[in-house]
Amino acid sequence: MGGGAVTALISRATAPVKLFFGPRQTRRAFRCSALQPPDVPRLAETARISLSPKEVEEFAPKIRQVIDWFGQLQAVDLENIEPSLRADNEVGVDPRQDQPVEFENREAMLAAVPSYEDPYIKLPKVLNKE
Amino acid sequence: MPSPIQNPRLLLSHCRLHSPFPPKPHPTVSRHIHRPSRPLLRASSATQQPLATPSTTTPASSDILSVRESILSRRKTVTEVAGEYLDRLRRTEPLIRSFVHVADEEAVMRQAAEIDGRVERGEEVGELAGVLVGVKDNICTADMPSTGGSRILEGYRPAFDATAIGRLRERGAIIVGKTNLDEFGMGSSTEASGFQVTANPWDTSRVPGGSSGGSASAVSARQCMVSLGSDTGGSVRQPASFCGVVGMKPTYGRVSRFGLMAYASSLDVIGCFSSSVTDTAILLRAISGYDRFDATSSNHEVPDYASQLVSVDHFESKPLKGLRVGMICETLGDGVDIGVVSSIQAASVHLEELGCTVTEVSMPSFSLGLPAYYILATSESSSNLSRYDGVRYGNQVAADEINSLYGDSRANGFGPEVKMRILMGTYALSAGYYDAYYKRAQQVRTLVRKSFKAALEQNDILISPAAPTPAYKIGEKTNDPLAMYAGDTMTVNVNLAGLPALVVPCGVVEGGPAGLPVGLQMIGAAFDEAKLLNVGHIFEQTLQSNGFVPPLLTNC
Amino acid sequence: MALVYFRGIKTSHLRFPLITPFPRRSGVPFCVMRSLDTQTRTPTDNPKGQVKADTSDQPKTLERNTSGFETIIGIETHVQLSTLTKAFCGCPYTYGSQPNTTVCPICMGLPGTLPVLNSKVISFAVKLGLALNCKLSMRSKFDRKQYFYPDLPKGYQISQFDIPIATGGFIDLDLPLEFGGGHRRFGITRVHMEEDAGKLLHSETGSHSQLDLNRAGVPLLEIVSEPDMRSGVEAAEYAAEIQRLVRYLGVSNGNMQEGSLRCDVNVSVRPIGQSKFGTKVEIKNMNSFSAMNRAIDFEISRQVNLHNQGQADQIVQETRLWEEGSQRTITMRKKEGLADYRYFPEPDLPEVVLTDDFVDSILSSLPELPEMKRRRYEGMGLSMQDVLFIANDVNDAEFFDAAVEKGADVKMAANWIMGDIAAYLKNEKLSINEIKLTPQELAALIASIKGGTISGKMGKEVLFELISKGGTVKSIIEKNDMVQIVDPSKIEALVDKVLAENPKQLEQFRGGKTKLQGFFAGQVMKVSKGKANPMLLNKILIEKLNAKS
Repeated sequence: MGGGAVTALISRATAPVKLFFGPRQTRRAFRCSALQPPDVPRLAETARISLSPKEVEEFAPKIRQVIDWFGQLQAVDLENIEPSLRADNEVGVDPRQDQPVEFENREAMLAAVPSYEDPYIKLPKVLNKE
Repeated sequence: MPSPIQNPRLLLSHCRLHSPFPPKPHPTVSRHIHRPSRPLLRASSATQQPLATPSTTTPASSDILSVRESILSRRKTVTEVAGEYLDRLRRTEPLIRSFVHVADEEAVMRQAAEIDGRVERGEEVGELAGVLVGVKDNICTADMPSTGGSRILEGYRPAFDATAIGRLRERGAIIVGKTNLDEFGMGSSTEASGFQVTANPWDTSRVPGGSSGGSASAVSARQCMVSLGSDTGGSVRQPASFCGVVGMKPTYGRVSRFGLMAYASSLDVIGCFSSSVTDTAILLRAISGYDRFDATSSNHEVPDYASQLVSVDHFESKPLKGLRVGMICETLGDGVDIGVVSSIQAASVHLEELGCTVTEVSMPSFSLGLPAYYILATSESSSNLSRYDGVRYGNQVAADEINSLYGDSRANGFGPEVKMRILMGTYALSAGYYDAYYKRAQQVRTLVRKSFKAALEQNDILISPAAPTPAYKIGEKTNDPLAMYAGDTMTVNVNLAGLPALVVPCGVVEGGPAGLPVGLQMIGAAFDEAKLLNVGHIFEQTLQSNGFVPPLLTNC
Repeated sequence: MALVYFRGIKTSHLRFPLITPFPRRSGVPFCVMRSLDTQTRTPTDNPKGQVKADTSDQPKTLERNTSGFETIIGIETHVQLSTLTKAFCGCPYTYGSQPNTTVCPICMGLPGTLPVLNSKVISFAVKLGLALNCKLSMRSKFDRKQYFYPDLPKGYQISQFDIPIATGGFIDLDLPLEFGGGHRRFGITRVHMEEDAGKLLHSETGSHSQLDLNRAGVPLLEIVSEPDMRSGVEAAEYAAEIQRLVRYLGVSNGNMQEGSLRCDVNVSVRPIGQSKFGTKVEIKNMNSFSAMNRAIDFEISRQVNLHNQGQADQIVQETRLWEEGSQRTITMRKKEGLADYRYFPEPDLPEVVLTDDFVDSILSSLPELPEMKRRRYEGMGLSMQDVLFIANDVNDAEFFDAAVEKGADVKMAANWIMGDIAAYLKNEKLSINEIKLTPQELAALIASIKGGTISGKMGKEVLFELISKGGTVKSIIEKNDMVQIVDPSKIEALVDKVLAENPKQLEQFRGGKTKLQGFFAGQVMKVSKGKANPMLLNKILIEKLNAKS
């Protein structure tokens, strides 16, 4: 059980990545499509995550690589296939009745609010919605 | 002298009576795609070798039942049991760091004493009385911090218990702490935790798997008897395989998600880790069932899984006679570790020896599942994580304007993997991209569901590895997302289809100081957990093994 | 009557020209009625020959320089449902509660929480969908509409995107006579279910904001109209009809001041003949129908003015707020491109599946709706003025129906309700079902007057006692000895007595001063303590006055 065996094992383990890309042409097909590649700073703004320039530099190629890999589905023939929203296993048929239930531990919940000025949650200036 | 409550496996390791492995077997399977290479352990032949050969095999037994028996027979108190576990937890924790929060010892002892008092007074105790449970930190507990492994929730204490936690407490379970995970479940190695890296008890230079790595390593190192995890794309099954424990991913909707911090809502399910299938059965029953706080939970009847398990004394020569087992051939192809392949093939032979008919099944859509899964999971997570904005809970970075407060709180609170997944999901859900990504992924999901349905019409259960490799080295894949994602290839399809799957340790391959465990994944039809548990139980009881005790316990 | 109708839409349009910054000149305000939507949606079997909109009949009260332009108005209405609990959690909601008291982990968006739909929201949505003549989606779903704003705890609003619960309906209404009258049919694009957001308050200094999440998660139905309206009045009347409808259905209190009924209005104008639509401007923050009317007319004038001044390019896609104080719309925010809400199906909620049985049961439980009532009242012979008044308030309508059912004369019942009763209710700020008067007694009162048992004047006294103290007409008449004197001999004796006591006036009358007949009648009535039957009294009095003595 030397280090050699471990290394071999890991190198094997990284190999399947290619396998799961599917056929080569699927990636080309994606590249030809009209979809724009991710614009990381803009996505970060939409997602309200202030990224440092260093993070943008670090994330952009990785995100692009994954999005590119997502693109393989473009080449799969999925015509006339209904999308599944979820597993669609039987769910409980117990519609909620319109009966009020008060949450008992409200104080603990409000105690967790980082900036609370009784009785309001305090916020900095809020500009208009986008 | 070990106490009578001591798990036989612990007894074994403490006494250091045996070499961890039986003599090296010869590969005997040849009809499969790959020749197995040096599996260190192979299935015993149920017909040829008597089951009760304590010198070579110690089948997994139920910690829950043995503790219950000791308590009720007054051979031992819950306080003593809890003390032993907490003691071991303290000793092993610096080496593996499974927990992000360990329960206050006094509180644990108080709960233990309370149960002892009830026993003493001859009062009823719950079916999980004195069972020490580790809980993945993305499951809300009212009396402990619940961070989801994220800095953004550092110190956050929920005002309520998750439904599964409530069900455990009602039955007398004692929560010993909150286990480490990849932040919000986003990862496959637990390295993406916002707090710490957890090590694998089999080799502390390796990952425990993920995202429920803390829960898996805690059970493996016997820091707790059982634990809860969550499985969105394999987060219970892959770490179970890496750590050599039993891992159960129930049918979607079997266990309420209320109180589970959502990663990908259409895929998430709470699952369990144990060191025996019996314990899995007991734990699963306790947490299962319809919950009026989860509209996607099912009111499908919850059987008493454990009572349906066949005891080891009653095995016929072919206890699984007639069971049709389909081996998914796409999971044993190129790129799967050869030791893993041979372990699974050996497991298949073992199943045949138990009376099963094993045939290969092909699922052509299998490879599409991985990108489809990642599209759905990143998309849903980008939405589910919007609530972490620093306004109502969690860490807030002060700002003089709300958008800066959002941006800075989220930038400060989320780790890189979470940030990247949110951005990918934001991209995939953008106007004009939805049809190309999210919708197509959902169509693939339909294909996957259909192919499982067809395969499960031909077979009672399906088998595959739980992961393409055994545990890998810490840091090995952290900079290559696709390599990391590829590790989920064995498990994600099951989540897309919402099916139950059980992982039981089936072999040990080379690696680390004492070999590395490999898990066998058994997949069943929706709500067919009972069948998986039965097969898993028989498999486990008839497997020649040392009980998958990690070397950590022998040394610690 | 016109004034009373303003209960429905409190428009004081007469005041408008004084405050509008734009000059107005005489003209036809609703100059363009060529909307295909409005025309084609008007049913050919217009019930009871209801007067159709006829532009030449429009009143000339509103002056506007809008000739040559066509206005297109569409309205998004949010109706807050009067359920006891929120849409997706069991929190009770009461308007005006202390801030952040009706909250729980679910509506606060705490980690790990999940929505569970209140079944009442579905039945209310189906009710309204059916009442708006919509097609129901037997399978619909919820979607997440994603944006960051502090009043939205989860970072997304649970709403319905591509499969709303109801689509493709219409609503009928009658414009009040003071606005020219006429029947209108406006298209309804869709009705969907969604949750409300919390309330964000801005501190006086503007340095920080305050958040109250009580309202977060309260169920709403959003009703989107076709762009069928052409004026502030039509838009306000559309909203008033929606209010009537939700009140008739009992799905909402429809209270605009409390925000239970909120209208966002999209207004665009274009020169007649131009095929391209004008730039759409959204107006918010109107908390009464009259404000809607004024805000829209202001906005139309503003846009037309810009067109006329060659500055049409200054009409930009934006949201404008109606400022009640200055009576104008002001820019709230510009819309830069289309907001991308990244909609996707809500994975936490199962599909909403309606069964035929469920829909049938709701259909059969629907009350008579305002439009049906109006057409029926018209058929009963009431004037449009009366029809609009009675049908405006569901309680009035029910009261009226019950009185008529008890045999009350239709016209008299309407008059009583619109007259003395309405005045009393307005004064006391009560609803007709909150007073002691019952429809049965109103019917009895009308019958007593009609049958001559009591006079109309006595009737009023009886009415006020019925309203304030209750009881029956019969007992009040008896108790107060109010029975009319109908015996001619008794009246004759009273007349004789009065004539004998007033010889001077009698002389004057007979001398030609016939106006004095009123004086004698009054005296006789006084002597009879108001109980003499007026008809008999007059008949006998005239005979006696003119008798040659």
